[in-house]
Amino acid sequence: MGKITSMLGLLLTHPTEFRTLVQFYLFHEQKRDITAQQEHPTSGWDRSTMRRCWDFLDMTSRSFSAVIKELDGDLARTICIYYLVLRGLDTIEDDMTIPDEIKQPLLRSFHDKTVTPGWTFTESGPNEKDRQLLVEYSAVVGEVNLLAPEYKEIILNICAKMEVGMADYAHKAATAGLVYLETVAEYDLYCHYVAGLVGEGLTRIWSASGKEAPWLCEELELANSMGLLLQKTNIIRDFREDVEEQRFFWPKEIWAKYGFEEMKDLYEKGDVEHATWIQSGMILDALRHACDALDYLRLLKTQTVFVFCAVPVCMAMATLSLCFMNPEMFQRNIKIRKAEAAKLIMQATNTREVALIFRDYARKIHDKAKPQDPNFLRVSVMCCKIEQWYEQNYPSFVIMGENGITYDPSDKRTAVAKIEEKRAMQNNPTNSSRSEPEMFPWELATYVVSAFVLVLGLSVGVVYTILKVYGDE
Amino acid sequence: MSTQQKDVYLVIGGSGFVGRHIVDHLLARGDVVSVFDIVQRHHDVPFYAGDITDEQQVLNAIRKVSMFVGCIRLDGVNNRSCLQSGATCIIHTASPPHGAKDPSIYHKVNVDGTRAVIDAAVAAGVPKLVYTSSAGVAFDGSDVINLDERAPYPEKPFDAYNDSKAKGEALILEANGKGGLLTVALRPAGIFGPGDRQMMVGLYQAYQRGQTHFQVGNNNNLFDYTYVGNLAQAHLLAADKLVPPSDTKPVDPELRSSLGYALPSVSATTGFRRVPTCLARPLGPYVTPPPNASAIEAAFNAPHDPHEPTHPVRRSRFDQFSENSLELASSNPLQVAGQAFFITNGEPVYFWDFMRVVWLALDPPTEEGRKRAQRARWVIPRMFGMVLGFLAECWAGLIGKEAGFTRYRVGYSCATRYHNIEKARRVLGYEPQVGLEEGVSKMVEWFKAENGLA
Repeated sequence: MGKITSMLGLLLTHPTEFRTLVQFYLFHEQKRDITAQQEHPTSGWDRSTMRRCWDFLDMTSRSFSAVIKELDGDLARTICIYYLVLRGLDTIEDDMTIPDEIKQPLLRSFHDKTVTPGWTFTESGPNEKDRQLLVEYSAVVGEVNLLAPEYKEIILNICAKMEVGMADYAHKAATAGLVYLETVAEYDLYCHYVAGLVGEGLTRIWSASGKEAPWLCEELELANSMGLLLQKTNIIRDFREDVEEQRFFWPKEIWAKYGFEEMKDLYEKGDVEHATWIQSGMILDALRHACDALDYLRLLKTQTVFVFCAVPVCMAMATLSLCFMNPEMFQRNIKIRKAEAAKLIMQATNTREVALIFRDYARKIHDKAKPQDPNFLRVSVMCCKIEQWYEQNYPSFVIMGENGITYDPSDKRTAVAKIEEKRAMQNNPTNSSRSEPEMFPWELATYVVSAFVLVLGLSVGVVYTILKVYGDE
Repeated sequence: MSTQQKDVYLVIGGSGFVGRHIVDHLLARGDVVSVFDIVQRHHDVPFYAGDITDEQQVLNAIRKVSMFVGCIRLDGVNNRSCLQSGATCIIHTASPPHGAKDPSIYHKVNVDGTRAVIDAAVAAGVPKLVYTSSAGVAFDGSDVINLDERAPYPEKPFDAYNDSKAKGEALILEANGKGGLLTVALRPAGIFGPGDRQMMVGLYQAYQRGQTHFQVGNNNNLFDYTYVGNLAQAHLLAADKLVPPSDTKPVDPELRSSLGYALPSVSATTGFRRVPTCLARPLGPYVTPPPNASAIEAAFNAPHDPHEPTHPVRRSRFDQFSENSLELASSNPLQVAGQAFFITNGEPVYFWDFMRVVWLALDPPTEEGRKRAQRARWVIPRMFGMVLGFLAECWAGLIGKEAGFTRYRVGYSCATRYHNIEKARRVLGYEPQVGLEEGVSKMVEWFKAENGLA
């Protein structure tokens, strides 16, 4: 009922968004049904422990669960388990009710706990939203132990690296009394531990699965940039919530200016203009991972892996553009609109489309930039790097129409393409007939003629039968 | 310990904006340099006054350039002096300013003058000639989007200036190999910096008239700018790399194989930060250091090499370094001799943003100065701008004055014009050192000092 009234409200206030959402609900179907009988061998739906894991995935992640379930073969189950392991670790890290002397050994041995049959953890604070996952963690442990050994090794390796980083930072906060990250380098390192490593692990899993190039797992900087773009976006968007809960991720190097001495000054002092300059500094920092993310996507081959990686980074770009120069962000948790998210999910199907999405958001950001902001020119340069990336990889003078490829005559690069085509023809005149568009499509003609003959034959047959059966009456 | 003999430079047009910066860079690295120009503006280097279109005058200057060099004997003992005579590298950077009253001067200097320089260089047996061309040689009025050096000269020249630059450049590139002469052409776009007498003047006029809040077009058009110091650096690189191509190994195999990997993004303005990975990261607030601690920390802190190939790159067939395009290239784009190179800051920005930053730098640090920047911008759509431009031109025609707001200017400020400098980065090893922000502040500082502004 609530859904219907909200949709009706949307129809009146935002008719185009209403259309997008209707399209999304009607046409965007789940590509894979993990509960189906034939999927059981790879999805593990026939095991109660794995079914429980799929439940947990739905409970702990709204945004990732759909794209994870669409992954091919046993990748879906593997990534689901990978996600739950890291979610379990994260729940312990986040929990401020666990004292440091208990938290330290717990975090640092989490990769062992994750393969210890029957292990559970029931001492999470009452307000931890994912505490139930740890209460029933033995289900995850059981499933980790059933994973293909190469996947299991990657997951445990990443878990071991991440837990050390988390424990180090938690220990520093608990003992040194330093609550803030000082430099951008420290902020980057923190994001590497909690998100960059996730990207490294995912990339190693793609390579190990054989669905992506074996060398992809060596592109550590690109993999980290994917994670950092997402993590930094969340850190920017969740500013208010985090500050109120005493979680301070923004580095002092960016915000300790213009008389801001504590992070809450950004909304308490009423200095909106300077606060938005700090905000643009944070967004500028996140944007330096945007082209890396595009480079990463460009190297992928498998469609479902691509969608899995592309959708979240598109959402991140949308969120960054929503937050940019937006004072609302300091007051409450802002989110991109549902219809916008639906549109992105439908659009983000190949690198070219994703690059166009990035470019659109870059332009939106640039539109809101203010010259007085000291970050102004660097924001502009960063947005232009996205524009350049698009033109370098998918030059806009090449127009893909119904009749094949045409070139935009008003673009100087058209002259280059024409000269090269002419040279290619001169170098290899035998090939020239291949590019002749007027060539008669014999293969297609054969199909058309045979289809025609088939239909004609069937009609004659039907008419003949009817006449034969009823003709005598 | 270089065994290569140092070049003796003659900078033609060395009193000009770009020429002077080249002289400064050469002096800074201890090179021997002389200047040939029509007027003398500096007195720290030997100067030869003359007319560039007169081959004999250029030739005389080339021959007069002389120096004592410490000659190194085969046994390595540096114990005698000898006289070397004549320039070994000419940097030809003379060009009349765009916007001259009589356009015939363009042809005279850029085409006839360049021909005279080439002839003189060949006659004197000078081995190297570096020419300052212009990105405008490929401009025909339509949008220039991420253009690379394969683009042909326009069939219909855009204007007399760009036409003369294209013809001059063509002469230079054709002259490569003539009588042992090696040539290279550099094509800068939107040069700015201390000493500029074109861009800054126009921007300051608009500032004085209080027109800084007008914006024609939607400002989604990217534009290239080149800091003059970066351009000077590119000239030195081009001169150094201008060596006879080897017959046995026409393509440097290392360079060729590196084409499969991306170059790091230019970071002169944005700054470089290494993305931490599990193999290259700071150690952070560790309790016990990881086993490979020193290695991962060293990898993270290693100096950034802007030309170190990074990840594998997939190139479309329209890419200049795709297999397809390399095969079809009319000349070897991976060598320096006989080639043209776009030289820019490699970080194009939206057209109006650059202006805004210059204007902001001009503002005095007072409340009044801040007020100007706060003014809401007025966006004039391109079509409307064209109509206004037409009317302004008519009005100017009626009262017999030159119009300030013209259709040409509207078109210019709405056009996209940026170039791809991957060839210069890969082949010349060029890398912009001074970013846009730093460059603008250097330019405005100089401009204020020069004009006695606060």
